[in-house]
Amino acid sequence: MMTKRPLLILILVAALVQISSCTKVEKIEKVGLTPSSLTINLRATEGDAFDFSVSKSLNVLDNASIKPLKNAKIKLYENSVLVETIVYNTISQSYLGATIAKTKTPYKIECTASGFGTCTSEFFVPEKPENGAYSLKIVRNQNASGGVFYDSGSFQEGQISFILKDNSKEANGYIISLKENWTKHASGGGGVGYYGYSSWECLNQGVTSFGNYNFYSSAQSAFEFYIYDDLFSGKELPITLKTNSNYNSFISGQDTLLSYDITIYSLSDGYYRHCFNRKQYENGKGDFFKEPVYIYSNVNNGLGACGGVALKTFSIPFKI
Amino acid sequence: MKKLFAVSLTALFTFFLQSQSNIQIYGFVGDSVSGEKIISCAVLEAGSDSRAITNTNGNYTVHVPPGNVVLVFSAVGYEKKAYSFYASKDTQINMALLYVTTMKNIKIVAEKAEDIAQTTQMGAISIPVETIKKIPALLGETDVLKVLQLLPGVKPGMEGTSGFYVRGGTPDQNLILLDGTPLYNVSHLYGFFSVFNTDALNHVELIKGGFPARYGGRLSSVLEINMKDGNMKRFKVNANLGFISSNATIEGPIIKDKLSFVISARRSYIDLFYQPLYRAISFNQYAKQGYFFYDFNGKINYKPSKNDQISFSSYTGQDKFYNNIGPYRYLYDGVIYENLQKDELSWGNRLAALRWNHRINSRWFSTMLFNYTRYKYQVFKQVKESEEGDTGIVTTGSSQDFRSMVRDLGFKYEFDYSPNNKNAVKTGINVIYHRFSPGATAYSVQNPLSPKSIDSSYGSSMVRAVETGLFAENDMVINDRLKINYGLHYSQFFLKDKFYHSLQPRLSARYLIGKDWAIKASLVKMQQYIHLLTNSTIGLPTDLWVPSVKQLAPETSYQGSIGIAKTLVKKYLFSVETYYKHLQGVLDYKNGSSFLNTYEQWFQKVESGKGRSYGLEVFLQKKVGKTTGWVSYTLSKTDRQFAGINNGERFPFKYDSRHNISVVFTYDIDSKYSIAGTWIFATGNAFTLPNVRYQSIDQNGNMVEVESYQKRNQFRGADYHRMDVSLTRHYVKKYYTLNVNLGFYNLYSRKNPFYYNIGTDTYGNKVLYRVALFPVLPFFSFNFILK
Repeated sequence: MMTKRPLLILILVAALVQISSCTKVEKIEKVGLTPSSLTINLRATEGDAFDFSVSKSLNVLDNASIKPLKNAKIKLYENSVLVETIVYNTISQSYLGATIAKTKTPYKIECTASGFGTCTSEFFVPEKPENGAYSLKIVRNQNASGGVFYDSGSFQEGQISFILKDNSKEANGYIISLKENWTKHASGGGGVGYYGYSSWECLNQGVTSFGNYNFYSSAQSAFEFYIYDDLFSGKELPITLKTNSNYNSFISGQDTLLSYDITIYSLSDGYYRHCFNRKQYENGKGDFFKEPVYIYSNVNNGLGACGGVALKTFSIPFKI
Repeated sequence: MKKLFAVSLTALFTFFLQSQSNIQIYGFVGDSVSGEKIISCAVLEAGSDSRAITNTNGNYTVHVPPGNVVLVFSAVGYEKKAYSFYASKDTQINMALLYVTTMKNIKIVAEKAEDIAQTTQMGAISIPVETIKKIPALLGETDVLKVLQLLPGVKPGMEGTSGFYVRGGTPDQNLILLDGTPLYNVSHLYGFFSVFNTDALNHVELIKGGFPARYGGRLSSVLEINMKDGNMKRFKVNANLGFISSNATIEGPIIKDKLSFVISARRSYIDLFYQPLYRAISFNQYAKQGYFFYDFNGKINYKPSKNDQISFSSYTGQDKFYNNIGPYRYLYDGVIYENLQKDELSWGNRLAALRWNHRINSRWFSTMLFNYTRYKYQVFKQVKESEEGDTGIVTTGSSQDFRSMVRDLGFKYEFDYSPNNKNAVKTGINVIYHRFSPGATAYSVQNPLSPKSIDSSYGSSMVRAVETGLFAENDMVINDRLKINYGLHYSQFFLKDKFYHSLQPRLSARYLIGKDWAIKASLVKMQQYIHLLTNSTIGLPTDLWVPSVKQLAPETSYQGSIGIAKTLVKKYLFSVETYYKHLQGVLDYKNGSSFLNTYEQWFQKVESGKGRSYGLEVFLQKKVGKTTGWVSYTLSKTDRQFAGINNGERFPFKYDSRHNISVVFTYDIDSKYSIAGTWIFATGNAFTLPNVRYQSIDQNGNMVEVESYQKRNQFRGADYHRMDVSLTRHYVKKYYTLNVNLGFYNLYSRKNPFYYNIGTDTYGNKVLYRVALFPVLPFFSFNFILK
């Protein structure tokens, strides 16, 4: 009996070691050593000089940090005419050109660097979008005695409506960013902000909402709504944003909601697609149930995004 | 369309109206000990071409000329029996056959397998239930679906799971019928075990191609599983004690040879052992964490007359994970507090079927079926705190309840008509009333500080639909060499705002070369109106069953196959088949979408595309003798294409696998010992992994590093191979039999990939991890049969 016990323990230990050793590190080569690509990024705005960022992509398992590539040359074409060859600028630490970006103008770049094939990209700089008349409607929930709370409580209904206008004929994409402007952000962990949350969604069909649920216990970020150009039936698109936020306090001395600050981004087609996919990618990080996201690039033979953006910002004062 | 259907039906019936002046011999073939029906039993007239096969009810009709007749009854595993008589008029002959392993000495009498070259059916494989029981399985739990995964053209999903992928199709494209009623989810424990209790089963058959017209509603396969009817002669108890679960089956006569029953129940007991351990290690006597599953099968079978059989069968099963704390109460400063925390995940099926088999006359046989099936999936979270003081009870808390459900109510009426020896006709209709609840979340918040409690729900609304099917098929002998099975299946799908329909021609043919080599070919069109949305990253039962709707059309497939078949030396079934399958309307989630996001309707999260699959399958099977088993090899390629996924380019299907080999054997050493083993090999699955890092710009000009997927499923995992072995000791006594089964799963402890992920090692360096699930696992089980 005594001789069997050590054997039994040995078998049990071996079994436990065996079961616990299920995870195995696979060899690096198994991912596939994808050759590095040129990565070119540009965010052009009307009236500003073109400022490119160029780097090279790395294998996902490469532990090196990504650094700017300094030996590239970027040929910039305006209306198919070469207007400038841009090289690395050591002061701006980027590829800063002298050409000023204009709207209604087709641009093309050719980027070359030692060890890489030529990358090309075509884009334009969008015209500034506009917002038409806007409205804010807040209906508060009643308390037990049928009245409304003075400085706290949930909204039975909350809605912002405005007209998104774009007179250009370009295929743009739009991002509407909504941020709540508080005098002092409720911090959670007890006190007034503990049960509060804000929530926004866009009622327009086909609009993708991101970050549509914020607890006050976390740092508040902007709500973003992505709208592709094909939703426009003409030059105007009525937008309706709806909230069912539940603020514990919004007009007391400590936490006061001053306004809803809205920024409309109008982005050139390829740049918009890139931003949209990137947002999906960020949104799905760490979520086991999310499908993988392929991030669009309008850089042929390379990665990144080249495009233009135009902004319009306006504020809607908070009133009830 | 209707005209074409009418013309086709007329053509279909033209042939068999020319009936010959033969005598019809018909009847029922059953087991001599239990009275259980024998499906696919060959009934031959000696010295002629007259032959028939028993249907799923064990009935046959064979046509013979007047005079002295010798009928030979032959079924796999049963002693062959000849019956001679003088035929002068239509006669009913019921036959009982003796199962060979019921004899004390395992002396194999029925050495001859069925003749594979005789049938027109392609891509159909039946596995004897007794063989399924012998094949070693994960943790000793015998499993029908795991055995099917070893067949050519059938691929398992991830390690250990029981979902199966037939010729590049998805699990929702498999029509799984339990006693003629579809089951939606057939897995326990995230797919590691199937819901079928093998002791309650009579017959298992899988059809991968060349579908006869009687089947419809799915694209890739039909798995027909028939439960036992229950022993008509005497009571029998069969019990299994296993590693994970135990089960018991009781069957017997209520009125001998008239009314029988079979009841089978199974429950896992991981939670019973784990819970005390969990409480001890968590130092919390109120903590409850565990998992269990259970199944219950029941059937009552009644034979009111020689020509009638009525049966009622039911199944209910559930899986449940739970991680709960409380409720627990405590007193603090004069106030009683009660806290409760619940996290539960459950899913399960319910099924009921009422069947009436009726022989109308010597040529006509009918089957009427009413059925109900339901699959429900639920995620429930709750946090609740209450204070009981002088002012009363104040409760705060919140709950979140996600539910997805599909419920069907069905009716089926089918006829078998045997006009002569040259034709065997089947025709019928079926109607299914579907109710889909694809996924909705109910939120509830109770907060005394808030002016009003929140009680709202998000998600997809219920969709109701009616699916109908009408079919006719004929298995026709053209001449000594050529035999065809042709038919039409017409299906309709009615939604509130949309109507879909489809006419699906089916054709299979067999041509004999020489005496016993057969060339077989088939062409079929299939259509299905329901879809399963499956997360592509993991195979949890987070799957949502959804219907075709206005925004998403049904799935359609066209499959052509050609092959050869032969029964070698009377014992081995040999076949080689090639196939090409084109799929339309297959669904996949869009980039970045998640099933958990109930703010969007489900059809906004998916995209419709196409796919194709083609391959070669080689199969050598031995069903009878002391050694049984098979060797199979599959060479195949499967891909998918969606406009909005992978830049619109084709990409490999997740379970695309170039080479698949399986070797399965069972060997009865003597009356006391038997051994069994399997070895499988499969080219690694395709995974989507990021492969580059680069800098990306947002709308504000900020640079952020991202990891990018260049292509969908571009990464090929390591090859999968595994060997399982088992040894069974049989103790055969006068009143009982005890079988003790010992074995090893993954004998040489191959670390097969379950999934891959990129993480960091202890030095902070990025590395790719391959996570394997099961090393070598010993198992044992006890099987007890009370005779």
